[in-house]
Amino acid sequence: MAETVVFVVCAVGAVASGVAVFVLDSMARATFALLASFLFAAVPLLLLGLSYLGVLVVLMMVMEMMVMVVFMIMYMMNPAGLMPMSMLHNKVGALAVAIGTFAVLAAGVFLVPWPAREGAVPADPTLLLAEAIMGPHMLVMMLVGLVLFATMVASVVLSTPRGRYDRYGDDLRRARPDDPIDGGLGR
Amino acid sequence: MVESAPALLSPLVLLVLLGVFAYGAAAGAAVLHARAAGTAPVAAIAAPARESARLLVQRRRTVPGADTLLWRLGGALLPVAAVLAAMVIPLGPVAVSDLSVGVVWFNAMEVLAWCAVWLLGWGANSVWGLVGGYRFLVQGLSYELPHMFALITAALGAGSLRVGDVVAAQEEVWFAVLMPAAFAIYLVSALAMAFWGPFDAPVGRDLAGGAAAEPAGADRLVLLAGRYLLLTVVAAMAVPLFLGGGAGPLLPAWAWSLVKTAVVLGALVWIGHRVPTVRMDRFTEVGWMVLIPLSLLQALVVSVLVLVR
Amino acid sequence: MDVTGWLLARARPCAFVVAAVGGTGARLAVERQLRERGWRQAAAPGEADLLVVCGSEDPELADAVERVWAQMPGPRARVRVAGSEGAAALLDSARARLLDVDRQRREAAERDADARARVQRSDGDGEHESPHDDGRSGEDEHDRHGGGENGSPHERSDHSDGHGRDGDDGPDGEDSGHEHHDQSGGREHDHGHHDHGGMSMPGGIPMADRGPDRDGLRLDRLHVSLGPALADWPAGLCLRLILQGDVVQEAKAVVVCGSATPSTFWDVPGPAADLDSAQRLLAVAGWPSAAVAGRRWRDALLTEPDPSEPTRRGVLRWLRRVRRSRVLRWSTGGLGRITGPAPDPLLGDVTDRWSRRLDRVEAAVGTSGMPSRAERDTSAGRAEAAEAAVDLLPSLVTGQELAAVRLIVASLDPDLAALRAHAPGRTHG
Repeated sequence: MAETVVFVVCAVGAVASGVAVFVLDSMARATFALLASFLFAAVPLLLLGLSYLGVLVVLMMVMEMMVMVVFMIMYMMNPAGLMPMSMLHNKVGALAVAIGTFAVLAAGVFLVPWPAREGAVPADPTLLLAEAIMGPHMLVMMLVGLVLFATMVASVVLSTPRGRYDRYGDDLRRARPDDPIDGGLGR
Repeated sequence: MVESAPALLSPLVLLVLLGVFAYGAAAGAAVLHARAAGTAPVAAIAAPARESARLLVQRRRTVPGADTLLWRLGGALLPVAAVLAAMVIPLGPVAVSDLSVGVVWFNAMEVLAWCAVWLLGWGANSVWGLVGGYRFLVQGLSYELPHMFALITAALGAGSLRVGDVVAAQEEVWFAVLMPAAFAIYLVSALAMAFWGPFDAPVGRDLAGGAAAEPAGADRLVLLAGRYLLLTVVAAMAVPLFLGGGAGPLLPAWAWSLVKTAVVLGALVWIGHRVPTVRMDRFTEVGWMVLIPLSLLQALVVSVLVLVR
Repeated sequence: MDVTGWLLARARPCAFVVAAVGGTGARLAVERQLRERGWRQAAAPGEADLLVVCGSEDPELADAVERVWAQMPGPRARVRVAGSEGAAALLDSARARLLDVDRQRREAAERDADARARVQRSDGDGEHESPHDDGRSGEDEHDRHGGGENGSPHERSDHSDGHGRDGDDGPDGEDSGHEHHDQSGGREHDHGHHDHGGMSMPGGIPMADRGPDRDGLRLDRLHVSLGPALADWPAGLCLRLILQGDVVQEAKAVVVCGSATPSTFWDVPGPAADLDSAQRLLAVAGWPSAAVAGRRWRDALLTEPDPSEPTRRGVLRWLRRVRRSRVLRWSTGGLGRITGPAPDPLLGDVTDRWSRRLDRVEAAVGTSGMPSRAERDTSAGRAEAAEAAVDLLPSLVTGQELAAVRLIVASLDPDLAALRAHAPGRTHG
C-alpha cells in the first residue's frame, strides 16, 4: 500500500514537473523542473529494489542538469533569468507528438500481457542486472562506451575554433602555447 | 561489521554530532585567524556563536528581480545535502542506514551541493552570485571525476559499494596505505566539494562573497552552517573509506571514528589556513591532466591487487 | 531586554569599510580597531551591519555610499571617520546605535513603509529593498509591443522586445523572424539584437545586450562597475567593465575623487605602504590569514618607526611564509604583464610586483634602519606610478576573468591620493 502511494505520488510528480518544463517561463526554473521530473522517475527504480540504478540516476541527472546549466549561459545571462520566455517553438506539433507518445506508452502499459513473476526476488538484483546486461555483451558494451567517449571528445575538438597550430605556431615549435587564458600546467 | 542500528545511532544523535564537529571546524578556523591577527585566540572560540547571534537578528534580504524560490531553495539545500550524505557514515560499528550502495548514495547527495551553490548564485540576481555559481560548476567539473574515481577505488578494494564492507575490508591494512593517491585525491576533492579553504573561489572575497554575496540574516546562517556541515561530512567519510573506520586499540570503535574524523577535519581546516585560493582557470587543467589519469592509474593498480589476492 | 537585544549584545558587528581618496589614515585606524576587536570586515554590503566611510566628505563617492547603505539589511548603523584620530570612539558610538533595539525597529518599519510605497508606485527602481518582491513582477509588466506572455490568448510567433531569449538564436546570432526595434545609440550589432529601451524589466533592471565573444559565440553582456565602494579595492578607483560571463570584454578606468586632498598619507618613510598593498593582494588572492597578519605587521610598523625585535622577527616570518607559497605564485604568475615603457614599480607580472613589494619591506625591516635612498618611494614617484597604472589598466584587464582582474588591480594598487596631490587636474575618461 505504501509503495503504491509513493509510486502514484512520484508518477504524478514526474508528469507534472515534465509539464512544468514547458509552462515555466524561466530557463533556470525549467531546468530544475526537468531535474525534478528525473528524480521522481528515479524513485520507481528504488521501489523495484534496484537501489544502485535508482541512486545512480539521481547522481547522474543532477550532474547532467548542472552541465546543461553551463550551456544555458550561452543563450541567456540575465542573472536570475526572469526574462519571461517561452520554451515552446513548434507548439502544435510538439503537443501532438507529446500527447501521442504518452498515449501509446500508456496504452502499452495496459495492453501488453506482462509476464508473471517466476521464482523469488533475487538477493542482489543489481548484480543480476549487471550480469544480464554485461555478461554476454561485455565486448559490445565496452565498445559502445569507447565510441560514446570518442564522440564527446571529437565534438568538443571540432567545435572549438582553435587548434594546436593556433597554440604552438605553424611549425608547432613554440615553447609555451599562446592561449587567451593560461592553463595551470604551462603546457 | 557495520550494521544499521537506529536504536544506537539515531538521526538525532547524528545531527548533534555533525553540529558539534561543524562548530568545531568553524571555531578552529576562527582561532587560527585570530592567532594570525595577533589577538587572543581563546576568545575566538566563541566567534562562530557570536556570528550566529548576529545573523539571527539580521533581517533577510530581498533583491529586485531575484528568483526568490530558487534562491531560498539553494540555501536550504546545502545543509540538507550534507545531512543526507551523512546517513551512510558509520560511527564505529553502526550507521544510521548502511545502504547496500552507500558509496553511490554519498556521492549522489554531495553532488546536490552543485545545485545548491548554483541556485544561490543565480537566484540572487547579482553578478557576483552568478559568477560564483558558475565558478562552482567549473570547480565541480574539475574535481568530480577524480573524486568519483577515488570513491570507486575504495569500493573496488572492498569489492562492495556498502560502506560497512569497505570498513571490513581494511582489517589488515588501511586503504590510505594501500591506495595513497586515491586518499590524497579524496582529500583535495573533499575541500573542493565543500568549497572551503583553497577551493573557496565560488564564495571568494574577490567576488565580494560570490554565491554568498547577497544572502543575509537567517539565509546566510543556513548557508554558512551548511558549508561547515558539508566539510564535516566529507572529512567524516574519509574515515570509513580510507582510515579503517572504527579500528584502533584501547578505545571503543565509536570513539576511534570520532577521533579520526576530528584529525581529518583539523587537517582540512589547517590547510585552509595555510593555502591561498586556487584559481579555477589554473586548477581545471590540473584536474583533467593530472588528477584523472592519476586516479585511473590508482584504480588500475588496486584492480590488479584485487585480482592477484 | 528581549531576545533580540540579548543576541545583539552578544554579536560582533561586521563592518563594510569604504575609503575615499585621502582617507588612507582613517582607513588604517579603522582597520586596526576592527582587527583588535575581532570585528569582521564584510566582503559585501549584504552581510554587513556597520558602514564605515573613511575620509572627508566626497560628493562623487556619496552616491556609491548611499547605495551600499540601502543594500544593508539591518539592524545597521553608519559612521564617518574623517581622520586617523578618534576612530575607536566613533566605532563605539556606532555600536551603541546598533544595540539600540527600539531605534533599529523604528528604522526598519520606516524602510518597509518606504519600500511598500515604492512598490505601489509600481516600478522597482533597483533599490535592494522591496519587501515582498517575489521576483515575478516582470510578468505583469505592460509590454510595449503588446506581445503577450505565456498564457496570453494569441500565439507568440514573433518576439516582443526583451524576450528574445528563446534559445532558438543559434550561436551565430541567426534570428528567425525577430522583429527589430533597434534604437540604441552607439552599440553596433550586425543582427540578432533586441532592443529593450523603455521596457520595464523585473526589478527595473535593463536586459543585457549581446556581443561576439572569444570563441565565436554571441553572448549576453553585463555592464558592471568595480569600485569605488568595494572591499579590498584601491580608494577612488572605479573600473567600468563590460562582462560576458566572467570575462572582461571592455574596460574603462575612472578616478572618483571630488574633494581635493592636499597631501598623501604615504609620504611618511617606511615599508608600511608596501605592506598595505601586499595585504590587500593577499586578501584578494583568498588568503585571509596571511592578509590579516600583514595588516597586523603594517600597524606595528606604523606605530614603531624603529621596529622592535619581536616586530622585526614577526615581519620576517610573515615574509618567509608568503614567499614560500607555491600556490600563490602559481595563481598570480603570468597575469597582467607590463613590459613597455612604464615606471619601474609596475614592470613585470603580478608575481613580480608583489615580490618587489615584499623585497622592499624586507630591505627596510631586515636592516633595522631607514630604507636606503634608492628604495625610498617619493610621493611624486607614487603619483607617476598611479597615473601609469590607471592608464594601463583597461588594456591589462581586457580579456581576463574577474579573479585575474582583481589580482591585477591589487598588484598595481594605484595610490590615487598621491595622483590627486600631484596632478589635481587629471581626469580619466
